[in-house]
Amino acid sequence: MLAPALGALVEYADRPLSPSTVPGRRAGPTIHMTSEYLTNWFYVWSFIVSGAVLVVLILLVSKLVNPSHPTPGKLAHYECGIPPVGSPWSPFAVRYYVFALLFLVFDVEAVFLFPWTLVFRTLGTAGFIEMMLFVAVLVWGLVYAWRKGALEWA
Amino acid sequence: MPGGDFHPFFFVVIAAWILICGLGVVLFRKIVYSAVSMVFCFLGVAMAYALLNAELVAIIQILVYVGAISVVILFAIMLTEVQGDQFTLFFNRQTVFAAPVAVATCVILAVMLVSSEMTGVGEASLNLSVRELSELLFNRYVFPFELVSLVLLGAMIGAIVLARGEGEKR
Amino acid sequence: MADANNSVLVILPGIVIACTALLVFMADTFVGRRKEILPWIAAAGLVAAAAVAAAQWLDVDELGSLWDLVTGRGSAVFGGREGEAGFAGMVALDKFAFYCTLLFCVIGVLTIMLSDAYMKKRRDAMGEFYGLLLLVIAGMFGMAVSTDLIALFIAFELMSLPTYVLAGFLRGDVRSGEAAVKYFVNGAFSSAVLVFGLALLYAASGQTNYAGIAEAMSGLGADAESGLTVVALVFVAVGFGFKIAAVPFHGWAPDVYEGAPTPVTAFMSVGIKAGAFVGFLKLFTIAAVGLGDIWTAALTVLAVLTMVVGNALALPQRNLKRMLAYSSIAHAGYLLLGLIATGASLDSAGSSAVLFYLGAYTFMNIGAFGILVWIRNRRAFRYGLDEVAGLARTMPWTAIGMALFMVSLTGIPPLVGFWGKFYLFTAIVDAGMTWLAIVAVVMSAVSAYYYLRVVWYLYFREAPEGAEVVADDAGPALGSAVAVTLAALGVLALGLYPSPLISAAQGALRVLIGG
Repeated sequence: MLAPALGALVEYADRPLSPSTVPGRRAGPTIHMTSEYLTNWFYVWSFIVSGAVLVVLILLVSKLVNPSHPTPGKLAHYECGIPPVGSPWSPFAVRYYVFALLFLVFDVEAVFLFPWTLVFRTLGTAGFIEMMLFVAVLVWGLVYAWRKGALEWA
Repeated sequence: MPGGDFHPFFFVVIAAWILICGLGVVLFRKIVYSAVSMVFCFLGVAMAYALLNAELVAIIQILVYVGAISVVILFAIMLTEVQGDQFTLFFNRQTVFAAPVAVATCVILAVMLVSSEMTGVGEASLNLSVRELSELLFNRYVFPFELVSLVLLGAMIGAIVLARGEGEKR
Repeated sequence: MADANNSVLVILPGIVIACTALLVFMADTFVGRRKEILPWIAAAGLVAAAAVAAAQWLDVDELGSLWDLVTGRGSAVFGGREGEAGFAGMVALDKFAFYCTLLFCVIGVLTIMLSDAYMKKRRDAMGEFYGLLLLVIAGMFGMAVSTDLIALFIAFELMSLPTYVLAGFLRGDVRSGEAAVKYFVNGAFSSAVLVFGLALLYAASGQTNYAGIAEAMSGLGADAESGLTVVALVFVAVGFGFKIAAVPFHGWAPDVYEGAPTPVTAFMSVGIKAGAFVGFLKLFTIAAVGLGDIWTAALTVLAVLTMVVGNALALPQRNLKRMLAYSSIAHAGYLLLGLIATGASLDSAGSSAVLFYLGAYTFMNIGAFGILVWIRNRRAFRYGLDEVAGLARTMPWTAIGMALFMVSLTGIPPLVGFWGKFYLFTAIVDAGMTWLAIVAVVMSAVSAYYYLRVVWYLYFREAPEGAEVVADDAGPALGSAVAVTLAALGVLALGLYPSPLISAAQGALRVLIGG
């Protein structure tokens, strides 16, 4: 069932385009959407869509199927210690924020590592030095944070 | 649209997704809902990048924005003492001025984007493979790349400064 | 990377500054209680960077022919020339960049000295303060050398990001926090607008390199002035307009300038403004030189609004810090005149007047803020105008310094402020926009009211009750005093003998625009 649908999709994407109809407008650059591109992304898309559908489906089914006869006794906390007082919403210690931001900084660093690995061989020594400099500056910052005690929990 | 060759149907769906999530960010009364809506907005933008053949940018968008920035934002919300639904918009009085300006900017940008052809940008630069992009990043654009490390260092140390209490001695 | 060595040489001053920042951070964790060495390290790094830049400048001057320029409208200016450009045209260390580097180093050293009074009480935070300051200066250097949109934007961010933190450095102070948040929100917005404008500029030309953009634009001919380029240039102008606090993008400036620690305010009003102007100048006069009509029109609106509103709002201010904030807005308006003159006449006179003015403004404004720091160091002071009444009797030298800076900011000869305005206004008249010069002169006359009112208070008003000299617990901050003294000497010396700075500013610009 999937194959014909995919075929139709690919055919649509590869269709010949009519020339631009805007008067006085030169044809701009085009972004190619090849059949290979579509098939590659088709799997990604089907994964995302089926994942989302699955979650909704399971929740929906369990909602429909399970019997629900709530009584005060059933809704009460069951062996969970004393009932909570006040709002559960209390501000975090600001200390956590440093960790979140360090995570962000090193996440960005990691993002640069991926394309670097792709072309590592062609870049040679220069590429290696470039990345080591980049990492060194950030490690320098991390060492600073460590020595300053910003990473201490207490 | 630059190009106009990519699948219009996909584009419309993704654009609608981004718009709806973006509206959710500003319209939700609970700030956590806004934050989650923003995460979905980031996802939509990642999909738009994927649609534009920019796989690397799409992956970066997911890794950095969906993965990290949304976490930082949620952390920031939890740090503040804003109680669940007591959050009110504090920009309300400026809506009268902001709305016309925003609409006018949108109209100008839309008209401009539709009416102009971006001839300067070549085909090759729009259909860059990840490998070619990486080569560019580490050869031609190595200076901004190294500058980025200093920006990140500044951000890191700035965060430490701001997160430390005035009284804490070290 | 065949030209790796050359590229490293090209950004050598910046590398020195950045490495000093790293050194300051690391030294901070090793020196223990002896934090007072940190400002010395930072200042030494800046002096070293300035020395490197000066040496390179002298070297370049000997090879004068290499640096001569292809003249003509829209022609590539210094792209592709070996020896001056680095990283495949990403950066260019020309005389313009040398001048700016020296200027930034002077600003940095003065700020470091000035913050003595303030950091003495916050010794624990010295490492972060001076390190972040150096990172900002490295970003400013990046703005001066960048000849590529991407490098420009990253440098812009490097310049902005640590400044937000510096503005909020007083952790316990609500106003400082407010300043940081306001500056951050406005700054983030301006960055977004700027990067959008840069992206559109790329979309219009297909190039990120300044010279490449200019070439592509001249290749397009009449098509270049499309809606796309107009919007692109307007967005870029708005992005920079926020950073230099041009009206109507000035809303953040008074609160931020008032709330931030005074040495940081001095630095922001001089350094960040200089950095932004330098990037602005280089981008517009190289990449968009053929599109002068568009951005000249946009900037004319900005300049008139900035001069009129900035001066008008400064009039009623009775808080000196706030008054100087509005005056700083007004000065951004004068500075815009130089850019407009360059765009309208394609002559470098306007741009070199901007460079000269940035130098002159550095001394007068750091001096003016420095006086505030000094008074606060010596006695209780909330920056009120009434509090300086009769200061001439209790602190005669401070009063002389204050009067000197106020008179110079007004633009009265023979101080350096006069020459700055003189060159700017001459340039704009030469560019055929006399009416703008008239607006500027009238507005300068208006500004005389609020500047000279301070002098009036200093000398002819009775001191308020109970205003006696109460020394700061930390003792007199010698660094701040030295900074103010140096600034006063600069204002006086350059006012009486401005030609070295002028010839430097003019020489710096010969590279940018053929002329």
